[in-house]
Amino acid sequence: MSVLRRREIAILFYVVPMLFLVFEYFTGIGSESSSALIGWAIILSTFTYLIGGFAIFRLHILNIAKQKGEWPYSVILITSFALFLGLAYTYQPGYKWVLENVYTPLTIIMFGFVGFYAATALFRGARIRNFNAGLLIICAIFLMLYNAPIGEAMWPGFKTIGGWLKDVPNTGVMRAVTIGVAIGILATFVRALLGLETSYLGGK
Amino acid sequence: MAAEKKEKIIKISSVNQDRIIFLLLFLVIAIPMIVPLGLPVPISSTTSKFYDTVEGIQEGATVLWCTSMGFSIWYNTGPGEIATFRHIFRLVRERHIKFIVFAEGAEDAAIDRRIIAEHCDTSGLTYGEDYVDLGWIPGGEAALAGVVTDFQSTVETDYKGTPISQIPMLKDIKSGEEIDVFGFSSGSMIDRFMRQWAPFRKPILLNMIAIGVPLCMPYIEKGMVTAYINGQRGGAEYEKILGQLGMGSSFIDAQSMVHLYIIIMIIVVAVWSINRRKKGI
Repeated sequence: MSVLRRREIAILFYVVPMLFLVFEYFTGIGSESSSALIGWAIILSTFTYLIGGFAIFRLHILNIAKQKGEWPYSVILITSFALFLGLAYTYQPGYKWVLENVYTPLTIIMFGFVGFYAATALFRGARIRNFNAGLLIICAIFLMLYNAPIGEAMWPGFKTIGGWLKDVPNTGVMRAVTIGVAIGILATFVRALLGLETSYLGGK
Repeated sequence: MAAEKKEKIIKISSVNQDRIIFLLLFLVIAIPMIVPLGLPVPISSTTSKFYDTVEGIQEGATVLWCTSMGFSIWYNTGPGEIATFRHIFRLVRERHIKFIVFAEGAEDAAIDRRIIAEHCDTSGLTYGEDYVDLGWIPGGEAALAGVVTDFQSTVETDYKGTPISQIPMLKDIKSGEEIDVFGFSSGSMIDRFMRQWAPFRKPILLNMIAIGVPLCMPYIEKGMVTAYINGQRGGAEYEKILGQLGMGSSFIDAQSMVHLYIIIMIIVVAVWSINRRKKGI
Protein backbone atom coordinates (compact mmCIF):
# COMPACT_ATOMS: atom_id res chain seq x y z
CA MET A 1 0.00 0.00 0.00
CA SER A 2 1.22 3.49 -0.85
CA VAL A 3 2.49 5.43 2.18
CA LEU A 4 0.03 8.25 1.42
CA ARG A 5 -2.93 5.89 1.56
CA ARG A 6 -2.09 4.57 5.00
CA ARG A 7 -4.75 5.09 7.64
CA GLU A 8 -2.25 6.61 10.05
CA ILE A 9 -1.52 9.47 7.64
CA ALA A 10 -5.21 10.42 7.48
CA ILE A 11 -5.51 10.20 11.28
CA LEU A 12 -2.44 12.41 11.61
CA PHE A 13 -4.02 15.04 9.35
CA TYR A 14 -7.00 15.02 11.69
CA VAL A 15 -5.31 14.83 15.08
CA VAL A 16 -2.35 17.21 14.67
CA PRO A 17 -4.38 20.31 13.67
CA MET A 18 -6.89 19.49 16.39
CA LEU A 19 -4.17 19.32 19.06
CA PHE A 20 -2.64 22.49 17.73
CA LEU A 21 -5.97 24.35 18.00
CA VAL A 22 -6.42 23.21 21.60
CA PHE A 23 -2.82 24.21 22.40
CA GLU A 24 -3.34 27.66 20.90
CA TYR A 25 -6.65 28.15 22.74
CA PHE A 26 -5.07 27.57 26.13
CA THR A 27 -1.66 29.18 25.56
CA GLY A 28 -2.24 31.83 22.90
CA ILE A 29 0.92 30.63 21.11
CA GLY A 30 0.62 30.34 17.33
CA SER A 31 -2.61 32.32 17.02
CA GLU A 32 -1.84 33.31 13.42
CA SER A 33 -1.40 29.70 12.35
CA SER A 34 -4.53 28.79 14.25
CA SER A 35 -6.49 31.45 12.34
CA ALA A 36 -5.08 30.09 9.10
CA LEU A 37 -6.27 26.60 10.07
CA ILE A 38 -9.77 27.92 10.73
CA GLY A 39 -9.61 29.66 7.35
CA TRP A 40 -8.76 26.34 5.71
CA ALA A 41 -11.73 24.74 7.43
CA ILE A 42 -14.00 27.41 5.95
CA ILE A 43 -12.52 26.87 2.49
CA LEU A 44 -12.92 23.11 2.81
CA SER A 45 -16.53 23.49 3.90
CA THR A 46 -17.16 25.55 0.75
CA PHE A 47 -15.90 22.63 -1.32
CA THR A 48 -18.50 20.39 0.30
CA TYR A 49 -21.17 22.42 -1.54
CA LEU A 50 -19.40 21.64 -4.80
CA ILE A 51 -19.30 17.96 -3.91
CA GLY A 52 -22.99 18.10 -2.94
CA GLY A 53 -23.86 19.79 -6.25
CA PHE A 54 -21.85 17.23 -8.18
CA ALA A 55 -23.51 14.34 -6.30
CA ILE A 56 -27.00 15.68 -7.03
CA PHE A 57 -26.22 16.10 -10.73
CA ARG A 58 -24.64 12.65 -10.97
CA LEU A 59 -27.54 10.87 -9.25
CA HIS A 60 -30.31 12.58 -11.18
CA ILE A 61 -28.61 12.53 -14.57
CA LEU A 62 -28.14 8.78 -14.12
CA ASN A 63 -31.83 8.51 -13.16
CA ILE A 64 -32.82 10.33 -16.32
CA ALA A 65 -30.43 8.34 -18.52
CA LYS A 66 -31.76 5.02 -17.19
CA GLN A 67 -35.35 6.35 -16.87
CA LYS A 68 -35.25 4.89 -13.40
CA GLY A 69 -38.17 5.22 -10.96
CA GLU A 70 -39.73 8.63 -10.89
CA TRP A 71 -37.21 10.10 -13.33
CA PRO A 72 -39.42 13.02 -14.48
CA TYR A 73 -38.87 14.52 -11.02
CA SER A 74 -35.13 14.32 -11.70
CA VAL A 75 -35.69 16.37 -14.85
CA ILE A 76 -37.56 19.00 -12.83
CA LEU A 77 -34.84 19.04 -10.18
CA ILE A 78 -31.96 19.40 -12.64
CA THR A 79 -33.81 22.09 -14.61
CA SER A 80 -34.69 24.08 -11.47
CA PHE A 81 -31.15 23.72 -10.13
CA ALA A 82 -29.55 24.89 -13.38
CA LEU A 83 -32.06 27.71 -13.83
CA PHE A 84 -31.63 29.04 -10.29
CA LEU A 85 -27.84 28.79 -10.45
CA GLY A 86 -27.76 30.42 -13.88
CA LEU A 87 -30.02 33.28 -12.79
CA ALA A 88 -27.88 33.91 -9.71
CA TYR A 89 -24.85 34.62 -11.87
CA THR A 90 -26.41 36.16 -14.97
CA TYR A 91 -29.67 37.94 -14.11
CA GLN A 92 -30.06 39.13 -10.52
CA PRO A 93 -33.65 40.51 -10.81
CA GLY A 94 -34.76 37.08 -12.09
CA TYR A 95 -32.94 35.34 -9.26
CA LYS A 96 -34.59 37.67 -6.74
CA TRP A 97 -38.01 37.03 -8.29
CA VAL A 98 -37.61 33.25 -8.08
CA LEU A 99 -36.28 33.51 -4.54
CA GLU A 100 -39.14 35.67 -3.29
CA ASN A 101 -42.05 34.29 -5.29
CA VAL A 102 -41.21 30.61 -5.68
CA TYR A 103 -38.57 29.47 -3.21
CA THR A 104 -39.73 31.45 -0.14
CA PRO A 105 -43.43 30.46 -0.31
CA LEU A 106 -42.50 26.84 -0.99
CA THR A 107 -40.19 26.56 2.02
CA ILE A 108 -42.75 28.29 4.25
CA ILE A 109 -45.48 25.91 3.00
CA MET A 110 -43.25 22.91 3.72
CA PHE A 111 -42.79 24.11 7.29
CA GLY A 112 -46.49 24.93 7.53
CA PHE A 113 -47.36 21.34 6.64
CA VAL A 114 -45.64 20.28 9.86
CA GLY A 115 -48.26 22.24 11.81
CA PHE A 116 -51.12 20.43 10.06
CA TYR A 117 -49.55 17.00 10.51
CA ALA A 118 -48.70 17.80 14.14
CA ALA A 119 -52.37 18.63 14.72
CA THR A 120 -53.55 15.24 13.43
CA ALA A 121 -50.71 13.43 15.24
CA LEU A 122 -51.80 15.17 18.43
CA PHE A 123 -55.40 14.10 17.85
CA ARG A 124 -54.26 10.48 17.65
CA GLY A 125 -51.51 10.58 20.24
CA ALA A 126 -52.58 12.92 23.06
CA ARG A 127 -54.29 10.23 25.08
CA ILE A 128 -53.89 10.11 28.83
CA ARG A 129 -52.88 6.51 29.39
CA ASN A 130 -51.18 7.01 32.75
CA PHE A 131 -50.18 9.65 35.31
CA ASN A 132 -46.99 10.66 33.48
CA ALA A 133 -48.82 11.18 30.19
CA GLY A 134 -51.39 13.31 32.00
CA LEU A 135 -48.68 15.40 33.63
CA LEU A 136 -46.95 15.93 30.28
CA ILE A 137 -50.16 17.07 28.62
CA ILE A 138 -51.04 19.47 31.45
CA CYS A 139 -47.53 21.00 31.27
CA ALA A 140 -47.89 21.33 27.49
CA ILE A 141 -51.20 23.19 27.92
CA PHE A 142 -49.69 25.59 30.46
CA LEU A 143 -46.68 26.27 28.25
CA MET A 144 -48.84 26.87 25.18
CA LEU A 145 -51.00 29.33 27.07
CA TYR A 146 -47.85 30.96 28.46
CA ASN A 147 -46.56 31.51 24.93
CA ALA A 148 -49.79 32.92 23.47
CA PRO A 149 -51.18 36.29 24.62
CA ILE A 150 -54.64 34.75 24.96
CA GLY A 151 -53.43 32.69 27.94
CA GLU A 152 -52.60 35.75 30.00
CA ALA A 153 -55.84 37.40 28.90
CA MET A 154 -57.80 34.37 30.13
CA TRP A 155 -56.05 33.97 33.48
CA PRO A 156 -52.78 35.63 34.64
CA GLY A 157 -51.87 32.39 36.43
CA PHE A 158 -51.10 30.75 33.07
CA LYS A 159 -48.18 33.16 32.70
CA THR A 160 -46.88 32.48 36.21
CA ILE A 161 -47.15 28.70 36.05
CA GLY A 162 -45.99 28.47 32.41
CA GLY A 163 -43.04 30.73 33.21
CA TRP A 164 -42.12 28.59 36.21
CA LEU A 165 -42.25 25.43 34.10
CA LYS A 166 -39.97 27.01 31.50
CA ASP A 167 -37.54 28.57 33.97
CA VAL A 168 -37.24 25.86 36.61
CA PRO A 169 -37.89 22.22 35.57
CA ASN A 170 -37.11 22.87 31.90
CA THR A 171 -33.89 24.74 32.65
CA GLY A 172 -32.75 21.99 35.01
CA VAL A 173 -33.30 19.33 32.35
CA MET A 174 -31.70 21.41 29.61
CA ARG A 175 -28.66 22.01 31.82
CA ALA A 176 -28.25 18.27 32.17
CA VAL A 177 -28.66 17.85 28.40
CA THR A 178 -26.12 20.62 27.69
CA ILE A 179 -23.58 19.11 30.10
CA GLY A 180 -24.26 15.66 28.63
CA VAL A 181 -23.63 16.94 25.12
CA ALA A 182 -20.41 18.64 26.26
CA ILE A 183 -19.18 15.39 27.85
CA GLY A 184 -20.10 13.58 24.62
CA ILE A 185 -18.05 16.04 22.56
CA LEU A 186 -15.13 15.61 24.96
CA ALA A 187 -15.37 11.83 24.72
CA THR A 188 -15.46 12.03 20.91
CA PHE A 189 -12.43 14.31 21.03
CA VAL A 190 -10.46 11.85 23.18
CA ARG A 191 -11.51 8.96 20.90
CA ALA A 192 -10.35 10.98 17.88
CA LEU A 193 -7.01 11.72 19.57
CA LEU A 194 -6.50 8.02 20.22
CA GLY A 195 -7.39 7.18 16.63
CA LEU A 196 -10.51 5.28 17.71
CA GLU A 197 -12.96 7.64 16.05
CA THR A 198 -12.74 6.73 12.38
CA SER A 199 -16.15 7.68 11.01
CA TYR A 200 -14.49 10.43 8.95
CA LEU A 201 -12.37 7.74 7.28
CA GLY A 202 -15.46 5.83 6.22
CA GLY A 203 -15.32 3.51 9.26
CA LYS A 204 -18.22 2.75 11.57
CA MET B 1 -66.85 -9.24 4.03
CA ALA B 2 -68.65 -7.41 6.81
CA ALA B 3 -65.36 -6.93 8.69
CA GLU B 4 -63.75 -5.60 5.52
CA LYS B 5 -66.61 -3.16 5.03
CA LYS B 6 -66.34 -2.03 8.67
CA GLU B 7 -62.58 -1.55 8.28
CA LYS B 8 -63.17 0.52 5.16
CA ILE B 9 -65.66 2.73 7.01
CA ILE B 10 -63.12 3.26 9.81
CA LYS B 11 -60.44 4.17 7.24
CA ILE B 12 -62.71 6.65 5.50
CA SER B 13 -63.70 8.19 8.78
CA SER B 14 -60.02 8.51 9.72
CA VAL B 15 -59.36 10.41 6.50
CA ASN B 16 -62.36 12.58 7.20
CA GLN B 17 -61.09 13.24 10.71
CA ASP B 18 -57.88 14.57 9.19
CA ARG B 19 -59.84 16.72 6.77
CA ILE B 20 -61.93 18.20 9.55
CA ILE B 21 -58.82 18.89 11.66
CA PHE B 22 -57.07 20.52 8.68
CA LEU B 23 -60.10 22.62 7.75
CA LEU B 24 -60.65 23.84 11.29
CA LEU B 25 -56.95 24.65 11.66
CA PHE B 26 -57.04 26.59 8.40
CA LEU B 27 -60.10 28.56 9.55
CA VAL B 28 -58.61 29.21 12.98
CA ILE B 29 -55.55 30.72 11.30
CA ALA B 30 -57.34 32.56 8.49
CA ILE B 31 -60.26 34.18 10.32
CA PRO B 32 -58.23 36.21 12.86
CA MET B 33 -56.00 37.38 10.02
CA ILE B 34 -59.00 38.66 8.06
CA VAL B 35 -60.94 39.90 11.09
CA PRO B 36 -58.37 40.81 13.81
CA LEU B 37 -59.61 40.02 17.30
CA GLY B 38 -57.51 42.75 18.88
CA LEU B 39 -56.37 40.60 21.78
CA PRO B 40 -54.07 42.49 24.16
CA VAL B 41 -50.36 41.80 23.74
CA PRO B 42 -48.79 42.48 27.15
CA ILE B 43 -45.09 43.31 26.98
CA SER B 44 -43.11 40.58 28.69
CA SER B 45 -40.07 41.31 30.83
CA THR B 46 -37.86 39.37 28.38
CA THR B 47 -38.77 41.58 25.43
CA SER B 48 -38.44 44.71 27.59
CA LYS B 49 -34.95 43.57 28.56
CA PHE B 50 -34.06 43.02 24.91
CA TYR B 51 -35.27 46.53 24.05
CA ASP B 52 -33.38 48.03 27.00
CA THR B 53 -30.18 46.19 26.04
CA VAL B 54 -30.34 47.50 22.47
CA GLU B 55 -31.31 50.95 23.72
CA GLY B 56 -28.32 50.87 26.07
CA ILE B 57 -25.76 50.43 23.27
CA GLN B 58 -23.21 53.21 23.66
CA GLU B 59 -22.33 55.91 21.13
CA GLY B 60 -19.94 54.64 18.44
CA ALA B 61 -20.23 50.99 19.49
CA THR B 62 -19.90 48.15 16.98
CA VAL B 63 -22.67 45.57 16.70
CA LEU B 64 -22.09 42.24 14.95
CA TRP B 65 -25.24 40.38 13.91
CA CYS B 66 -25.50 36.91 12.37
CA THR B 67 -28.76 35.81 10.77
CA SER B 68 -29.35 32.08 10.95
CA MET B 69 -32.98 31.12 10.44
CA GLY B 70 -33.90 30.30 6.85
CA PHE B 71 -37.16 31.19 5.16
CA SER B 72 -39.05 28.24 6.65
CA ILE B 73 -39.39 29.94 10.04
CA TRP B 74 -39.67 33.44 8.63
CA TYR B 75 -43.11 34.04 10.17
CA ASN B 76 -41.84 33.07 13.61
CA THR B 77 -38.49 34.82 13.83
CA GLY B 78 -38.93 37.35 11.02
CA PRO B 79 -40.93 39.89 13.07
CA GLY B 80 -38.24 39.97 15.79
CA GLU B 81 -35.48 40.25 13.20
CA ILE B 82 -37.16 43.14 11.41
CA ALA B 83 -37.87 44.97 14.68
CA THR B 84 -34.27 44.48 15.87
CA PHE B 85 -32.82 45.76 12.62
CA ARG B 86 -35.16 48.76 12.66
CA HIS B 87 -34.13 49.60 16.21
CA ILE B 88 -30.42 49.19 15.52
CA PHE B 89 -30.62 51.25 12.33
CA ARG B 90 -32.29 54.01 14.34
CA LEU B 91 -29.34 53.94 16.74
CA VAL B 92 -26.89 53.88 13.82
CA ARG B 93 -28.37 57.22 12.83
CA GLU B 94 -28.68 58.68 16.32
CA ARG B 95 -25.52 57.37 17.99
CA HIS B 96 -23.22 56.51 15.08
CA ILE B 97 -23.28 52.83 15.94
CA LYS B 98 -21.51 50.59 13.43
CA PHE B 99 -23.71 47.69 12.34
CA ILE B 100 -22.10 44.61 10.76
CA VAL B 101 -24.44 41.96 9.41
CA PHE B 102 -23.58 38.54 8.07
CA ALA B 103 -25.44 35.32 7.37
CA GLU B 104 -24.83 31.70 8.24
CA GLY B 105 -26.60 30.41 5.13
CA ALA B 106 -27.44 31.44 1.58
CA GLU B 107 -31.11 31.95 2.48
CA ASP B 108 -30.14 34.04 5.49
CA ALA B 109 -28.09 36.36 3.28
CA ALA B 110 -31.21 36.95 1.18
CA ILE B 111 -33.20 37.60 4.36
CA ASP B 112 -30.70 40.24 5.51
CA ARG B 113 -30.79 42.00 2.15
CA ARG B 114 -34.59 41.92 2.14
CA ILE B 115 -34.92 43.32 5.67
CA ILE B 116 -32.41 46.11 5.07
CA ALA B 117 -33.90 47.06 1.71
CA GLU B 118 -37.61 46.79 2.56
CA HIS B 119 -37.95 47.41 6.28
CA CYS B 120 -35.10 49.63 7.45
CA ASP B 121 -34.69 53.35 7.00
CA THR B 122 -31.18 53.75 5.62
CA SER B 123 -31.67 57.28 4.32
CA GLY B 124 -28.82 59.53 5.33
CA LEU B 125 -26.61 56.57 6.19
CA THR B 126 -23.55 55.58 4.21
CA TYR B 127 -23.05 51.96 3.32
CA GLY B 128 -19.58 50.87 4.38
CA GLU B 129 -19.25 53.64 6.93
CA ASP B 130 -22.36 53.17 9.06
CA TYR B 131 -23.43 49.64 8.21
CA VAL B 132 -22.24 46.75 6.10
CA ASP B 133 -23.73 43.50 4.86
CA LEU B 134 -21.09 40.78 4.55
CA GLY B 135 -23.50 38.27 3.02
CA TRP B 136 -23.09 34.56 3.55
CA ILE B 137 -19.91 33.39 5.27
CA PRO B 138 -19.87 29.62 4.74
CA GLY B 139 -18.27 27.25 7.20
CA GLY B 140 -20.76 26.97 10.05
CA GLU B 141 -19.03 27.07 13.43
CA ALA B 142 -15.61 27.54 11.80
CA ALA B 143 -16.93 30.78 10.28
CA LEU B 144 -18.32 31.92 13.64
CA ALA B 145 -14.91 31.25 15.15
CA GLY B 146 -13.12 32.92 12.24
CA VAL B 147 -14.96 36.24 12.47
CA VAL B 148 -13.98 36.65 16.10
CA THR B 149 -10.43 35.32 15.95
CA ASP B 150 -9.16 36.75 12.67
CA PHE B 151 -11.83 38.89 11.07
CA GLN B 152 -9.64 40.28 8.30
CA SER B 153 -8.59 36.86 7.02
CA THR B 154 -11.97 35.19 7.41
CA VAL B 155 -14.00 37.86 5.66
CA GLU B 156 -12.54 38.91 2.36
CA THR B 157 -15.40 40.83 0.78
CA ASP B 158 -18.89 42.09 1.54
CA TYR B 159 -21.91 40.65 -0.30
CA LYS B 160 -21.30 42.94 -3.27
CA GLY B 161 -17.75 41.66 -3.66
CA THR B 162 -16.08 44.81 -2.33
CA PRO B 163 -12.82 43.87 -0.53
CA ILE B 164 -13.13 44.66 3.16
CA SER B 165 -9.87 46.65 2.98
CA GLN B 166 -11.92 49.19 0.98
CA ILE B 167 -14.73 49.33 3.57
CA PRO B 168 -13.79 52.08 6.06
CA MET B 169 -15.80 50.84 9.06
CA LEU B 170 -14.12 47.42 8.96
CA LYS B 171 -10.50 48.59 8.91
CA ASP B 172 -10.08 48.38 12.67
CA ILE B 173 -11.99 45.16 13.23
CA LYS B 174 -9.43 42.48 13.94
CA SER B 175 -11.26 40.12 16.29
CA GLY B 176 -14.13 39.82 18.74
CA GLU B 177 -12.36 42.29 21.02
CA GLU B 178 -13.41 45.15 18.72
CA ILE B 179 -17.05 44.09 18.81
CA ASP B 180 -19.17 45.68 21.56
CA VAL B 181 -22.40 43.75 21.14
CA PHE B 182 -23.00 40.38 19.50
CA GLY B 183 -26.38 39.27 18.22
CA PHE B 184 -27.89 36.47 16.22
CA SER B 185 -31.12 34.83 15.22
CA SER B 186 -31.55 31.11 15.33
CA GLY B 187 -33.97 28.34 14.56
CA SER B 188 -31.91 25.57 16.13
CA MET B 189 -29.46 24.91 18.98
CA ILE B 190 -27.34 27.93 19.86
CA ASP B 191 -24.38 26.07 21.39
CA ARG B 192 -22.03 26.91 18.51
CA PHE B 193 -22.60 30.65 18.98
CA MET B 194 -22.06 30.37 22.72
CA ARG B 195 -18.84 28.36 22.32
CA GLN B 196 -17.33 30.94 19.99
CA TRP B 197 -18.73 34.24 21.20
CA ALA B 198 -19.46 33.94 24.92
CA PRO B 199 -15.73 33.89 25.91
CA PHE B 200 -15.51 37.57 24.90
CA ARG B 201 -17.88 38.44 27.76
CA LYS B 202 -19.77 41.03 25.72
CA PRO B 203 -23.57 41.39 25.61
CA ILE B 204 -25.17 38.76 23.37
CA LEU B 205 -28.64 39.31 21.89
CA LEU B 206 -30.76 36.45 20.61
CA ASN B 207 -33.81 36.30 18.35
CA MET B 208 -35.04 32.74 18.83
CA ILE B 209 -37.79 30.58 17.37
CA ALA B 210 -40.37 30.13 20.16
CA ILE B 211 -40.06 26.35 20.22
CA GLY B 212 -36.28 26.68 20.72
CA VAL B 213 -36.35 29.03 23.72
CA PRO B 214 -36.56 26.21 26.30
CA LEU B 215 -33.39 24.73 24.76
CA CYS B 216 -31.52 27.99 25.37
CA MET B 217 -32.61 28.44 28.97
CA PRO B 218 -29.29 27.35 30.56
CA TYR B 219 -27.48 30.10 28.62
CA ILE B 220 -30.20 32.66 29.31
CA GLU B 221 -30.43 31.86 33.00
CA LYS B 222 -26.66 32.18 33.45
CA GLY B 223 -26.64 35.54 31.65
CA MET B 224 -24.50 34.32 28.76
CA VAL B 225 -27.38 35.40 26.52
CA THR B 226 -28.06 38.92 27.73
CA ALA B 227 -31.56 39.23 26.29
CA TYR B 228 -33.77 37.36 23.84
CA ILE B 229 -36.88 37.62 21.70
CA ASN B 230 -39.32 34.76 22.13
CA GLY B 231 -40.42 33.94 18.57
CA GLN B 232 -43.44 35.56 16.98
CA ARG B 233 -44.89 36.76 20.27
CA GLY B 234 -41.64 38.45 21.25
CA GLY B 235 -41.53 40.01 17.77
CA ALA B 236 -45.06 41.40 18.18
CA GLU B 237 -44.16 42.80 21.60
CA TYR B 238 -41.02 44.42 20.23
CA GLU B 239 -43.03 45.99 17.39
CA LYS B 240 -45.39 47.40 20.00
CA ILE B 241 -42.54 48.88 22.07
CA LEU B 242 -41.02 50.47 18.98
CA GLY B 243 -44.41 51.77 17.89
CA GLN B 244 -44.00 50.20 14.46
CA LEU B 245 -46.59 47.45 14.13
CA GLY B 246 -45.86 44.86 11.46
CA MET B 247 -45.95 41.18 10.59
CA GLY B 248 -45.75 39.97 14.21
CA SER B 249 -48.73 42.04 15.35
CA SER B 250 -50.78 40.91 12.35
CA PHE B 251 -50.28 37.24 13.14
CA ILE B 252 -50.43 37.25 16.92
CA ASP B 253 -54.23 36.77 17.09
CA ALA B 254 -53.95 33.76 14.77
CA GLN B 255 -51.21 32.35 16.99
CA SER B 256 -53.41 32.68 20.06
CA MET B 257 -56.35 31.01 18.33
CA VAL B 258 -54.19 28.12 17.08
CA HIS B 259 -52.90 27.50 20.60
CA LEU B 260 -56.47 27.51 21.90
CA TYR B 261 -57.61 25.14 19.14
CA ILE B 262 -54.82 22.69 19.92
CA ILE B 263 -55.63 22.82 23.66
CA ILE B 264 -59.32 22.17 23.01
CA MET B 265 -58.31 19.22 20.81
CA ILE B 266 -56.05 17.85 23.57
CA ILE B 267 -58.87 18.11 26.11
CA VAL B 268 -61.40 16.44 23.75
CA VAL B 269 -58.99 13.57 23.04
CA ALA B 270 -58.09 13.20 26.73
CA VAL B 271 -61.75 13.06 27.84
CA TRP B 272 -62.56 10.62 25.02
CA SER B 273 -59.63 8.34 25.92
CA ILE B 274 -60.52 8.38 29.65
CA ASN B 275 -64.13 7.47 28.81
CA ARG B 276 -62.99 4.62 26.60
CA ARG B 277 -60.76 3.30 29.38
CA LYS B 278 -63.62 3.47 31.86
CA LYS B 279 -65.76 1.46 29.46
CA GLY B 280 -62.90 -1.02 29.12
CA ILE B 281 -62.50 -0.52 25.36
